[in-house]
Amino acid sequence: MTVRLRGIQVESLSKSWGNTQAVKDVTFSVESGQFLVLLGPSGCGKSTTLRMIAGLEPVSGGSIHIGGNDVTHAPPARRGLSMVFQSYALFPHLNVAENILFGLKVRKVGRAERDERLKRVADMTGLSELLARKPAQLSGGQRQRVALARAIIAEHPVCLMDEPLSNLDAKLRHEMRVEIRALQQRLGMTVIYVTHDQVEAMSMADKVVLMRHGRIEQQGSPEEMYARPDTVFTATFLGTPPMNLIELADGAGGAVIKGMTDASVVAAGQGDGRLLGVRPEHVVLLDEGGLTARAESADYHGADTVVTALLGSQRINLRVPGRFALEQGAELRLGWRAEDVHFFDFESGRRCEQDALPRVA
Amino acid sequence: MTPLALALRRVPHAVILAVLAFAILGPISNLLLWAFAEQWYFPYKLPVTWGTRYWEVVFRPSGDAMASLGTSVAIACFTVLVCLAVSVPAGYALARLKLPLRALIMLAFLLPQAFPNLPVYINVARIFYSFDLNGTILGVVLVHAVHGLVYSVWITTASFAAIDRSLEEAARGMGAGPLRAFLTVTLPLALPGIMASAIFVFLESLDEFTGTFFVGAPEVTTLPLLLYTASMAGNYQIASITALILLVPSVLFMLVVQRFLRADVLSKVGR
Ligand SMILES: Nc1ncnc2c1ncn2[C@@H]1O[C@H](COP(=O)(O)OP(=O)(O)OP(=O)(O)O)[C@@H](O)[C@H]1O
Ligand SMILES: [Mg+2]
Repeated sequence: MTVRLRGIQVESLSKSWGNTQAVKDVTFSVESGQFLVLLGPSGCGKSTTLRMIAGLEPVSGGSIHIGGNDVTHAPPARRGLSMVFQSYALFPHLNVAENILFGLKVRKVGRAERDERLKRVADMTGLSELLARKPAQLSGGQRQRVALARAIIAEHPVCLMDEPLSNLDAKLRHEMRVEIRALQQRLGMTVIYVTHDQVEAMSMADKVVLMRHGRIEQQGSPEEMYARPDTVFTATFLGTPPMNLIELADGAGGAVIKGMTDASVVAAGQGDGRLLGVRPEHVVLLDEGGLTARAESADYHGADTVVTALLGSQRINLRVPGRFALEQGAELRLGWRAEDVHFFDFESGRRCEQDALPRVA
Repeated sequence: MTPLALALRRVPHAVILAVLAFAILGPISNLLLWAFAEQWYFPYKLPVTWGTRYWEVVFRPSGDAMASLGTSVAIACFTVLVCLAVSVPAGYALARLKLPLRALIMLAFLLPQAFPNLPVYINVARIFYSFDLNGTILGVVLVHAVHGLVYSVWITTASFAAIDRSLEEAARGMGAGPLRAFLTVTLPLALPGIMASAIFVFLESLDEFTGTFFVGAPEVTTLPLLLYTASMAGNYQIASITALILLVPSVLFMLVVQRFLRADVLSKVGR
């Protein structure tokens, strides 16, 4: 199965209902064959953005181009895309085969071709045995597959998905994540995928668009966003546990950790009104030197342990390989490399450039 | 607890059930007795002579009963058609409306029921008179339809509202036009509710008396009018048999509605 190559450009898109502005000035683009994830907390406008691209919601401002054509005001059927709904939107009165074939029948595709495409898609999604069943007789994962099959049988180059995995359990979610990604790559589909789950975003996306309060907070590849967050919001939204943010204060010879008695300098320059960010996996335990912290608790995950410690009065998480035998209140010596440290302005939450001092002896 | 005590605890239930059964079946058994009584007079507790003579009278092809049954059924069918023609589009639109506005419009359909029937129908009759609608089938159908619209609009709105909106969007997204999406997805899913409302309207029309009396009589004679005239004339046999005929569709309706109306539709009625 091959699909024509098509990219999507979204320019200054906005949407308001009366006084509430759900989407504000959203601009991003997806290249043909790319997997883009719209990520963000609940209510940030992801679904609204996706529905505007699908043509299910009229736009209040901005434009949408698909494959170079302006489709801002085109009806859904004219946009050459298929959509997977969060609720799956399977037709309860039709069986699996009829559900999958609905679009082909509407477009008057011949019977022979219909049957052939149904067979191919059913094989691909593992639904061959279930074609005669009604949606009510399927498990959540099977329904999800039907929704997916219904979207890909159209052979549209663009597929939009709104939290398609949110109703599944953790194990199935992982399997489906891998399957959807593999299918997308095999068919060369351009996908816009909505989720509030940062793990899904990190593991599936070529490009992540992180939204907050209807605006784009930051966009880029998962690696870029993880390694160089522009804001505190991005820094804490990606990664579990999230990045540690430690308040700094002005001290003798540079910025020191706020509230620490034996304050040692962690950065050159200003400390007041600044936050130091460091990811849990970048904090290391030292034998000597470093910052003194007090162990508080340990959360064992199997492959590693997340240790929570108090740095003065501020909490910090660090990831330690294997099992960590914790003595509550024990003294830990913590350090990190200068290149693993981020700085943010406390007021605006924005990233600022500052020289960190290495805390690794 | 002893078996006797257990049995005693069931006594109140049994009494309640028996009272209910008597309240429901008592009048019906009286109807049955009258239907098969050829002679029954005071002080006898049961009919003096039994027989089916009056059934023959009622079912005689040339009899009033058969003619008025035909009229009743025809009026009921037309009433259903008129109600569906209004309530399917109206219900679909109302189900998509925001709540306050929707509640307001649905209340408007309730309005004819809010006033006492008699003055309303007398006024309707007066107005219809000036349109030459009095004594016509059309006039009676219109009166029945106003009455039936309450049920059909409310139930149809509920059935449309019970359908997940994204189903229609999915159909649209797959290339179906608005009409096709409606006919292949929305309508089949709403059909049980629409059927139930149609049956409801049909029965209401079959049963309707006051409006028919003021607008239709004496030219249009429906079964309830016949029943009224028969019992006024002291002909209890004819009246009972007519009442039994009227009972049949109601019982069938109860059976059908159970299958058609799902809980999720019922829970949305009036919302
Ligand atoms: N039809 C509507 N009328 C008014 N406001 C709406 C409507 N649809 C959505 N909104 C508002 O727009 C905002 C964004 O909604 P949207 O559904 O896009 O969020 P989301 O990011 O998809 O959230 P979730 O992860 O919970 O699905 C919300 O504040 C919501 O209340
Ligand atoms: Mg959503």
